[in-house]
Amino acid sequence: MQKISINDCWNTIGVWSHASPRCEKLDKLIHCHNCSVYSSAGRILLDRDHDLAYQKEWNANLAKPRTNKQYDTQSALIFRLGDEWFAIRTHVIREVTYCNNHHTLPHRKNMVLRGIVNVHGELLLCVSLGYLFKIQKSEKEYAQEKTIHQRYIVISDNGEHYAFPASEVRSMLRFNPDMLHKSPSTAGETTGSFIKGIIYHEEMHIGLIDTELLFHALRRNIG
Amino acid sequence: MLLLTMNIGSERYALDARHIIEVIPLIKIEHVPKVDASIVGIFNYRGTPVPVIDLCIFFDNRKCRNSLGSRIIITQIKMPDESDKIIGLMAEQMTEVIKCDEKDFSSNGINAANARYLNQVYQYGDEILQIIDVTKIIPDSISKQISTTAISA
Repeated sequence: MQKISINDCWNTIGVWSHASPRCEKLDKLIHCHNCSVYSSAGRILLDRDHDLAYQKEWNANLAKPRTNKQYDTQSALIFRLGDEWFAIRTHVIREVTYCNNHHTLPHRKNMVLRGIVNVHGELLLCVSLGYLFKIQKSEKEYAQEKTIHQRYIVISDNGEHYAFPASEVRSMLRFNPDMLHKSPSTAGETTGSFIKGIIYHEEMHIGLIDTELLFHALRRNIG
Repeated sequence: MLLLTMNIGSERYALDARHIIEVIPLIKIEHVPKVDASIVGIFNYRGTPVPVIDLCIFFDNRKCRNSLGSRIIITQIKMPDESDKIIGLMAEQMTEVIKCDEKDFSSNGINAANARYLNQVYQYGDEILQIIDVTKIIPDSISKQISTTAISA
C-alpha cells in the first residue's frame, strides 16, 4: 500500500491537541468530526490503491457460503439476593434504579409486600424476592458499603409493576437455552420452585428466575 | 430513505440502499472474454458465480480505478425472462451513505431513451446526485449475455 502524506491538523490545532492557538473553525464546528477537512482526509485514505493480499482475503471470504446460523440467545440481568445469584429475563425489566427508602403500609402484615416506593414520582409496590425465595441474609462480606451496591429492580408484567431491592446488580448476560442446567434437588424447596434452570457463568451458579411463576406468586401474596 | 453515493467519472451518482444486498471491496474478478466490455467478469459470491458490471465503462468508457474507495455493490435485478439474478456493480468512491426524503427528488428534465434509469436527481448540499434506478440499469443487450438461460442455450 503506498504511503501518502496528509496534513493532520486535528492533531496539531484540533481537538486532539492541547496546543494553542486552536483552530478557529472549532468555535463553530465544536469537533473535528464535523469538519470537511477531516472528512476529506478520510477520503484521501480511501483513494489509495488496493493491495493484493487484501484482495485475496476478500475473495476467499466471499467465496464461502453465508452462515445463516440462527442464534436463539436470550438476555437476562444478573443480580444478587443475599448470597445467591439470580438472573431475570430482560423483557420484564423496566428499569434498575438507586435505592431510596420504601414506605411501609399500615395494617399490612405481609413480609413479601414491604410497602411502596417512589420511582420517578410513580408509586410502585415494593416486594421482597428475598423473602419470597426464603433467602437468608448474606454471610459473606461483599462490600463495606452495602448501600453502594443495593439497587431497586423494577419489573413489570401486563401493566403490573413491582420494585424489589437486590443486594447487587452485576451485569447483563446473553445465554443460549442449551446453557441452562436443571436446578439441583438440593436447592431450597422454595427457591428451587422459582428457578427455571441454572447457568454457570464467571464461576457463579446463577439461577434463572421463572418470570411467570414469579408474577403469579407476587399476585397471590399481595392480592 | 438511504442513498449510497458513488463517483463515475467526475459525476456523483447515488442509488437507493434498499436495492443493495451487500457492498464489497474491489476483489479480483475473473475476466470473461467475448462479452460486452462493461461486463468485467465473474467472481465466486457465496458459492455461485456472479457477473460484475463496471459502471465506469458502462457510463464513461474507462476502467474503474483500483482504489480502496472503489467497491462492488451486490444487487438483484430482474432478467428479461422475469427471473431474478444477483449481479455486482462496480463504481468509484463509494464512501458515503446519506439520509434523504424521496419527496425531495426532482426530475432531471431530460428524457433520454437509452438512459431511463437516470431521470431523478437529488440536491445534496452543493452537489447534484443523479439517482440510478438499479432495476432498470442493465439494458437487454447486456442482460442477455449474463442471463442463465443464455449460458445454458
